[in-house]
Amino acid sequence: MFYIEQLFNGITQGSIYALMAIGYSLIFGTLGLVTFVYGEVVVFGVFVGYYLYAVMGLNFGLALALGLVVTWGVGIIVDKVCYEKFRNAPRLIMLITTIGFAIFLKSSTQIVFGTQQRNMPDILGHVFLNIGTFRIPFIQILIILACIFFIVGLQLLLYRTRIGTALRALSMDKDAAFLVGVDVDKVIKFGHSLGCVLGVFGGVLLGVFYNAINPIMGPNIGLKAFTATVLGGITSIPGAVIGGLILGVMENLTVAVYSAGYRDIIAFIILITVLVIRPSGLFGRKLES
Amino acid sequence: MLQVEDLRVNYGQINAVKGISFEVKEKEIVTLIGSNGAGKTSTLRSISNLIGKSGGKVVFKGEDITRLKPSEIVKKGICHVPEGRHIFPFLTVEENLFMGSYANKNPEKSNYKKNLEEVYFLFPVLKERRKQMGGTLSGGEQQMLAIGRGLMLEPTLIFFDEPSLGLAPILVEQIFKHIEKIRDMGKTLLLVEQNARKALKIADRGYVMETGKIVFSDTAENITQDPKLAKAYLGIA
Repeated sequence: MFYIEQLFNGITQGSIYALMAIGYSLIFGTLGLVTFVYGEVVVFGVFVGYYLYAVMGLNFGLALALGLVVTWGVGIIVDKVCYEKFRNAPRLIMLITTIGFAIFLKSSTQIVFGTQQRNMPDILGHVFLNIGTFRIPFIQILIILACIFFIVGLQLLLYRTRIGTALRALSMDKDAAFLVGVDVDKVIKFGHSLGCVLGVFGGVLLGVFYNAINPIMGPNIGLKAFTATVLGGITSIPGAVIGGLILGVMENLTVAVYSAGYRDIIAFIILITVLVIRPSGLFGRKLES
Repeated sequence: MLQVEDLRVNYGQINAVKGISFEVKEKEIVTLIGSNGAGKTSTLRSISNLIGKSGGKVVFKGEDITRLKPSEIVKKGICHVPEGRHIFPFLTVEENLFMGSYANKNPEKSNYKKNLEEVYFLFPVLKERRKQMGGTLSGGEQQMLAIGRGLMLEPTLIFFDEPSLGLAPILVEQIFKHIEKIRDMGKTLLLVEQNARKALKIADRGYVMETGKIVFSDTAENITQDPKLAKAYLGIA
């Protein structure tokens, strides 16, 4: 029974990781590059939402929405500062700019919102869904549903809309995207900000799940999103979802079997194992153009 | 229709294009020929602004387009079918064609459908494979897709960059037939080719490039008969 509950915890956490991983994957796809600032953007966005909700007393939905709007803006700023001028420069430069911006954003978050861990207020209270002898916290079901909603929404956006098709096209061949008349700069900003927003939404859910948020949890979030993405095969969105779920379940089962101290080790173990055994991930593309 | 004046392109210290001027008139096929590294592709890429110009001026239909963004140049009706085809490998054939219409000025659905049918009529094989990923097509089919994608824009001027590159002779033959058909549709073409004989056969006029300069220009017929061509084409200095 204990293990089944842990499994369910794992699925909940895994779906949050999945959401963050697809955000990461989207950013990787549009920029063609890993980013080190993702975790910090997520934390900043989460704290903006937290501040609006817990300190200024807006209702949860409105605070969340405003937090996501601010995140969209932060995404554009990150693109302006870290990427825009360096699109044709050597890759290394953009890696370094993201590291620098991550430090800046982390410190800013601490200056603006303080350095303490904050308790995320309970938004639902302790409501449980009882199935036989199971007690599943209702909030977990909501979290999973919210993740599914966003993942499906993103799929529809990418495969059914004009800008989504342009995003996919851009991730495959930037030159060709230019040549069919895509305003590449704008679409990159769109994809990057969308990825950030997905990440922050995941971050909020994570805060709700743990009842706590911390201004220095950025690198950890970045690592988890990165691991899940790499596991799934970095540009594959279904891959990122599966990668996130596997990571979440593994983490929680590890905690259940050994101890909570092992929670973060498992991500590293997965990351290293994948990179050694199957660098293209579970669903990585083998066809290279 | 297109006037290029004193166009220069540098890659760092290297001058790839050293101040060339040429012109493409309406409904013409003009070809830029020359050996590897003569600067032909750089010329096209800089007109489309995929790479920066270090000098010069480009005028299209009386309008200065020297400094426009690539996406804006496309919107003027200049389509660039790039060297190496550059189709989107993980989009289906139909999505590739949809992307071709991205900058089309007449975005109505009926217009899109009409253009799609036209492309499928020109290249029936694309219709057969419309649900397949672009990357799974053969080289010749990918070239057709690249051309078809360009036509979805309803361009007035089309740049073809080495359409015959890496194709079997029989496919080269086919591609050139298609290019002639596209000319007959009333389009103006600027064709860059290493396969000079083939290009001159369908072109009205030609410019011969060598190490970043235009060394010779005349009607296609006259160039074909000139011994200087062999010199430029084979790269014998």
